[in-house]
Amino acid sequence: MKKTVLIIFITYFLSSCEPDDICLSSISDTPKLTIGFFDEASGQKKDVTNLKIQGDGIEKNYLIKTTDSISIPLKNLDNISGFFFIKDFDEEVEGSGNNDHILFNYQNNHIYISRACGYVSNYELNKIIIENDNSNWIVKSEITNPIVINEKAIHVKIFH
Amino acid sequence: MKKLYMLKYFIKTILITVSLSSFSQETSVIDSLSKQSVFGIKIGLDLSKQIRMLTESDFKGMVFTGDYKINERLYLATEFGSEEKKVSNEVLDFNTEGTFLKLGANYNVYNNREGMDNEIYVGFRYAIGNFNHKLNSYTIYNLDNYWNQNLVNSNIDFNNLNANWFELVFGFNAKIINNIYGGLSLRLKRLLNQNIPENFNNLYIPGFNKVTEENNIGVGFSYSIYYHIPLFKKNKN
Repeated sequence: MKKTVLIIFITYFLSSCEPDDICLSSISDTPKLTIGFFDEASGQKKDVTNLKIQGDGIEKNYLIKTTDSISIPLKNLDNISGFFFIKDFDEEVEGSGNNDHILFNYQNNHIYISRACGYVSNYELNKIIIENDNSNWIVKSEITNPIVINEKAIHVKIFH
Repeated sequence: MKKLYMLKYFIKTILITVSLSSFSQETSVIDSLSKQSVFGIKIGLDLSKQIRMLTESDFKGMVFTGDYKINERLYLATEFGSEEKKVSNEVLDFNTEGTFLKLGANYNVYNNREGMDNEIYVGFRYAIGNFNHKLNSYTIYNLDNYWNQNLVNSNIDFNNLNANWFELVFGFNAKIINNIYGGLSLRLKRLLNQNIPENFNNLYIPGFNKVTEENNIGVGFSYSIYYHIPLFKKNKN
């Protein structure tokens, strides 16, 4: 009788043991801001040729490619991330392409995940500022989904 | 400051009990052949905390233990103390400090020979703890490090948290000399209730030890030295 009680106790105590020091790959990391490029006239998706993206204050390029949608990382310690979006960039020609300076203003929310994964950041978009340089290739922008919690949907539309 | 007062209080209590017990010892001449058993309280210190302080950096702890013999088999038992622990892994860095109180009983399964007073026991404790966390820094889980802004120095306080839990205890106590006893115990713990801080978690609870997020189980170990204060004798049976 005593033994049975003891065994029940021990199984109760040891039920469902799992290691929790590994951040599983099934946990999604901090989402990026997803931008779709659209034709100004038709409203249809339209490629930007040889688009170079570079963070404001960063020497390294983020990417160079021809695409109609991209995902870019936002800063986690600031509420503004600035980027240079250069259209028709040519690596061999210095200063080539049309360079537009674009600023994203948002609210940072750091959300606790677990001992192994730490926190992730989510964002709430407030405003997009496209600096006027008299020859902007970006005509206008539109926030379609201000809550950045995943990369499944387009958060921002850029018309060109 | 509060801690210092507590420490002084603890030390005073120990000094008083030790002086009282040495006084009472003079009057009691224990006849080992008599069919009497001595009843009293044992007051001790959990030295495993002191050992942990030497081997484990960023840990401080002081735990007092005590028990009171009700009959040949049953002891009321208690532990109380405080702990401070700094935890830092790859993504989190925080400090936890707090106090706790445990109450329960031990059942002695060992059959002592005449005049002996050893214990091999099973027991339980119900424990309550109050604690605070200070999150010093954390890492944003982000596979992209383009901006190099994934480490956050936060200094966020999570205060006035509490938890209660249940412990299953296996251990023994043996007389070393006269009224000095030594004992070891192993503990399996199960968390019953806790208030979880907003946007963080209780990953370490003083008195409970490390808390895993998948289950409520904890383990513990104690190594105590007791001073036995005889209070009265009773004839066996």
